[in-house]
Amino acid sequence: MGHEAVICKSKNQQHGEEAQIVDQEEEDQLFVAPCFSSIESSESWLNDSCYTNHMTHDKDQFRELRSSNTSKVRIGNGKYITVEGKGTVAISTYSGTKFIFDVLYVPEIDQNLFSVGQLIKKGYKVVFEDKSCLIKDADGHDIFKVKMKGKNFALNPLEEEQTAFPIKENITDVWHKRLGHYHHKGLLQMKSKMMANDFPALDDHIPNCKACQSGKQSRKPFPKVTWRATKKLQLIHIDIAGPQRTPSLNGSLYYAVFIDDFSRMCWIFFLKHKSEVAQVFWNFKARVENESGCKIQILRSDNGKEYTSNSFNSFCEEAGIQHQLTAPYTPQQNGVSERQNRFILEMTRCMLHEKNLPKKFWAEAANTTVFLQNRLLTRVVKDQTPFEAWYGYKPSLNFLKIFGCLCFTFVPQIKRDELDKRALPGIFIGYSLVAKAYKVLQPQTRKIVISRDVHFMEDEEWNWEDAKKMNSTSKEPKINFFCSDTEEQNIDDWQNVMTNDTPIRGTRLLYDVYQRCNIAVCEPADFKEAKMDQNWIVVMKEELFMIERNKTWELVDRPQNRKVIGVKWVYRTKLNADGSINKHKARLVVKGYAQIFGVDCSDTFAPVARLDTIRLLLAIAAQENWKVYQLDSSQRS
Amino acid sequence: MNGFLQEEIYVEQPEGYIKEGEEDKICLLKKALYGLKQAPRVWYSRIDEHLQNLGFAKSFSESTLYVKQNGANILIISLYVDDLLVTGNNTSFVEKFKQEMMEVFEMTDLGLMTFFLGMEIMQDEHEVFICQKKYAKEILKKFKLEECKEMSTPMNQKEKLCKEDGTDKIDQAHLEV
Repeated sequence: MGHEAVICKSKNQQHGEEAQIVDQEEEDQLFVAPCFSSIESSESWLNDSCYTNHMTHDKDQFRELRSSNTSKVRIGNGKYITVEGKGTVAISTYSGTKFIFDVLYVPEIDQNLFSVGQLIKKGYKVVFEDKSCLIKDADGHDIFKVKMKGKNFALNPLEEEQTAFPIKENITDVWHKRLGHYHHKGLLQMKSKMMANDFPALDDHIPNCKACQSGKQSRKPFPKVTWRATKKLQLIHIDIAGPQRTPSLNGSLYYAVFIDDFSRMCWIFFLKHKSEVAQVFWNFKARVENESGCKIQILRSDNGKEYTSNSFNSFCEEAGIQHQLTAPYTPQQNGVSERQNRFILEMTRCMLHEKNLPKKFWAEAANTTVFLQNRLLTRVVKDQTPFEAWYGYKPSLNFLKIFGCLCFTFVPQIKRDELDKRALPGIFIGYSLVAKAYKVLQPQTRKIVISRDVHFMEDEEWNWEDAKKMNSTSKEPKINFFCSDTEEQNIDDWQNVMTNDTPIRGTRLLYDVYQRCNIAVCEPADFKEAKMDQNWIVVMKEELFMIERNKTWELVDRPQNRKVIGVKWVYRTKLNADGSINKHKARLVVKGYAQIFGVDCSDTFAPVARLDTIRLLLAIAAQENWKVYQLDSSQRS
Repeated sequence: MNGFLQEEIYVEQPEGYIKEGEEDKICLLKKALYGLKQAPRVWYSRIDEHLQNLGFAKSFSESTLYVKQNGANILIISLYVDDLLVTGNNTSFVEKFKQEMMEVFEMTDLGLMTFFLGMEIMQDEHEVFICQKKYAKEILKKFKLEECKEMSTPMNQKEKLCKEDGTDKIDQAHLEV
C-alpha cells in the first residue's frame, strides 16, 4: 500500500526487478493461509509472510493488467494454480486511491493476499507488535497499521482506524503542484505519449485545486446565441472599428458596420470621426427601412460613447428602437459584430496584399469585402447567402473581378478627340452600389471613375514605381494639355464620385442652422432685397436724411468730361451680445475703388494714434487718477 | 465723417431714392461719403482744424494727440480716426468739451472708456486694467477650441531634459553671432 513514493524514486530499478520476478515465477510457491476461506470480506487483504507475491482474484481491481506472462504457482497442498496475469491494482482507501504494483492475478484463490516478502523487497518495513501489524515505508514513515483479527492480519483499506497516518498528499496532486499547476489533461497526454522520463503514475482526475481557481479562473463560457431574429431588421448589430493608422482616400479613419441579425446582411460606412456614427445610422435606418418595408426594432451595440450619448438615445426613443448595450468589457456579447469585424479585416488585408495596394485603399477593400460577404455563405443563415435572405433572390457572381487588378476604362467620345487614347489604365477598386458598374481609380489623373466599359486584366497589378517615373517625366506637357478641362474637376471628383466613402461632414443642431439662416436674412445683399423689408427702408431714409441735412451733396447736371462714381447701399445688422438684433444700419457708400488717383483724389492718408500713445495716456490717467472718456462719430458707428 | 472735400467728385444718385424729375442729374459731393478714398483724411483735417481752433496744442511727434492747458486744468485728447479719447484733471472741463464736440460733430458719448480697439479697459481708483479676454475667446471660437482644457503652463512640466535625446548635435557656430 502507498507504494507511490518508492516507485517514483526507483522506477528504473523496478524494471530490473520485474525481470527477476518473471524468472522466478515458475517456482513461486504459495502457502495457503489457514483461514483460506474466512468470512473476511474479499475486499480486504491478508498480510502474510509466506507468499512470494501479492495476489488477488478480483480482476476488477486491476488498474493495469498484463496477461501475457501467464504462469503457475504452487500452493501448500502441492497443486499448482494458474496465474493469469500480473499488473497494478488500484484500491480505494480512506485517504485516496492507492496502487499496489506487481500483483498476480490468480482467479482460483478467494482472498487477496499481501506478500510481506514482496513488501520488504521493495524497501518497506513490516513490524508485527502489540497485536497489530505496522507497515512503514523506506524512510520509516508509518503508512498502515493493521489490527490483528482472529489470528491474521486483514488489511481493509476502507476502515479508517487502520490507517496509522493519513497518507501523504495524493501523488497526482503533488505532481500537479511540482509542475506548476499545469493543467492535468496536458500531463495525462504527456504521459500517454511518453514525452518525459520518470513520469509518475497519475490519476485520471484531479481534486479541485484552490490555487488553480485563483490563478486560472477564467470567464464562464458565453452561452451560444439562444435567440435569433426571425424577421428582417428585427435586430441590428452595430460596431465601429478603427482608427486605422492610414486614412483612406477620403480621409476616413473609422468604419461602422451594421449587420441585420436575420439575414446577416451587412452594411459598411466610413467615418472620419466616431461621432459621425449617429448621423450615418439615421441615414442607414431610412434607407433599409424603405428597402425592406420593415422597421428596425432592436439595436445592439457596445458601450461606446458615441451610442450612449443623450442625443443618440433620444433619437432611438423617438423612433421606438430598443437599444441594447453589452455589459462593459465583454465584447463577447456583441459577438456578431466582432466576428464580422475580424472577417472584414482579414479579407481586406488579403485583398490589399494580393495586389500590393497601398494601405490607403483599405476603405475600398473593406467596402468590397462587405459586398462580397453579402454574397457568400454564412453559417447562421441556412442554405442562403445574406443577399438572398435580404433581397429574396440569388445573387449573381458573374461580374466579379479581382480587387485591385489592372484595368482599362473606355473614355467616352465626348471626352476625347480622335487621337486621344480610347482607354485609360486604372485600378479596379470595387463595385458601384448605385449603378451597375465598376469603380476604377485612375492614379494618373487622380480620379475615381464609375464605368461599365472596363476591360480587366486580372493577373496584372498597378505598377506604382513605373507610374511615379512616368508622372515625373511627363509632367510638363501634361499640364499644358489638360489644364483647362480636367484640372478643376480633379479634387472635386476625387471626393464626389466616391459614393460610399463620403462621410457626413460634421453635424450641426437645427437650432444653429436656423440661427444662421436668420443672420443671412438679416443682411440683404443689395437694394432689391432690402426694399422688401420695412426695417431697411426706414434706416435707408434715415441715412438719406442725414446726408441731406449735412448738405453732403447737391444735385447738378451731368458734366461732360468727368467720370461719375457709383454708389451703393451697404446693410449691416448690429447684434446684441445674446445674438438678438440690436439695430439695422444702412449706409450709402461710394465705390471708392473706381476713384482715380490725381483726378478724384490726391493724398488719402490720415494719421491715427499709436498704441504706445494710448498706453501712455492710460498710464497717466491711472497715475493721476483721471478718468478716460470715449466719444465716437455717430455717423460712423 | 463729413469733412469738406478739396476735390470735385461726382456720384450717382442712390438706388431707390432718385429725385423725381431730376433723374438725369448727379450729385456733386461737398462733404465726404463712406468709401471715398480720401474720407479718413478729410475727416482728420476737419477735426484737426476744429481742435486747434479750440485752443488745443497738437503734439509735435504724435499728430493725433492734443493737449489744452487752462491754468491748473489740463485736457488731453487722443484721436483714432472717428474714435476720440478724452481725459483730464477736471471732470467738468471734460464734460464741457464733450458737449461741444457732440454738438459740432454729431458724436456719441460712450461714457467711460471700456472697449477700445479690441482691448477691454477697466478703470478704477488709481488703476487701469486692460485685457483682451473677448478677443482671445473669439480666437478660440474661430478655431473651435472653446471647450479645450485649460493649462497653466502650455508645455509638459515634468519633461526630463537630457543631454542626449537622439537628435543630431546643433552646430554651435550657428548660434554665436
